[in-house]
Amino acid sequence: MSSTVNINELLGKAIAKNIVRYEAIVMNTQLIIEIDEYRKKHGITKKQLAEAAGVNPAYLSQVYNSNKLINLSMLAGISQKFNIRFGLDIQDISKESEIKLDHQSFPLYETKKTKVYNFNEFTKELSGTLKQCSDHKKVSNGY
Amino acid sequence: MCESTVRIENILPNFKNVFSNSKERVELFVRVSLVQDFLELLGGKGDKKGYIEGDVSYRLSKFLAVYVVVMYGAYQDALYRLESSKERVTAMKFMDKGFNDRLYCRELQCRDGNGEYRKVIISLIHRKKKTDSMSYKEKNAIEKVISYELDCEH
Repeated sequence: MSSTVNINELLGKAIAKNIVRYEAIVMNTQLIIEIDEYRKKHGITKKQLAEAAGVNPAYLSQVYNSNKLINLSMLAGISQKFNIRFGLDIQDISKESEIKLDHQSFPLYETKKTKVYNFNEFTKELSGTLKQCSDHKKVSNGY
Repeated sequence: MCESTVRIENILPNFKNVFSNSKERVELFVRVSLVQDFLELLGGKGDKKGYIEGDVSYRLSKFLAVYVVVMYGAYQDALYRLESSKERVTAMKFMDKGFNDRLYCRELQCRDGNGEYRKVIISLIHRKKKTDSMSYKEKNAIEKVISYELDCEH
């Protein structure tokens, strides 16, 4: 029991400490999914993609693994090489959060395919998570 | 007997609204009997010196990336991929810093009052995978996942 609480505390602290990085990981993962879909559809190898991005295949592999984040130079290289354009879509989520907070936990904005949530609100709910996680352990014994 | 499952958001409630895909509904579950091991996997230490005990940020980062791929309804070899397309067994990959763990999952196509959705169930933890290719241990793990009675209701 105590180890569960401890792990949940660690997870909570890690979230709080790395909130910006986690938001970056969500964005990075979405970009990689889209790029990989394009790559497969057009028969582009990972080696060719790495060349276009100006990095070696090992580095690209790290980006695919989310150990490293993609950067703008890499995107520009891919864009130039394959004659594609990455969309830029800036949305103010603060107003949406005021409207939607009464029925949703976190504010969100919608892109073409996805809804992405505001990590600042995510952090605020952190203490609740820790409590619920430890409560869950108690409940799970009764499943 | 059918295996009981619990939503990932009941274990990590804040993951509920981190990411959702408006194109396809995907729901992530964990087998109830696996919850404790799953939390320990996220919070456990690695084998190499570079991995600091108690630093869960790495695995949490990895799980977050995997979570996005799953919720996207996509596959991505480095993070989440189909191991058996016939039986819809998939693997979440946690590879780096002295460990090479896999979470084997089962995907089910389900339907409820809100329409069709994909139910992904984390069903088995396979620690310290040794080789890139699929050994008999991995084949056994996949067979074991297939043998679990999992359905849309539980």
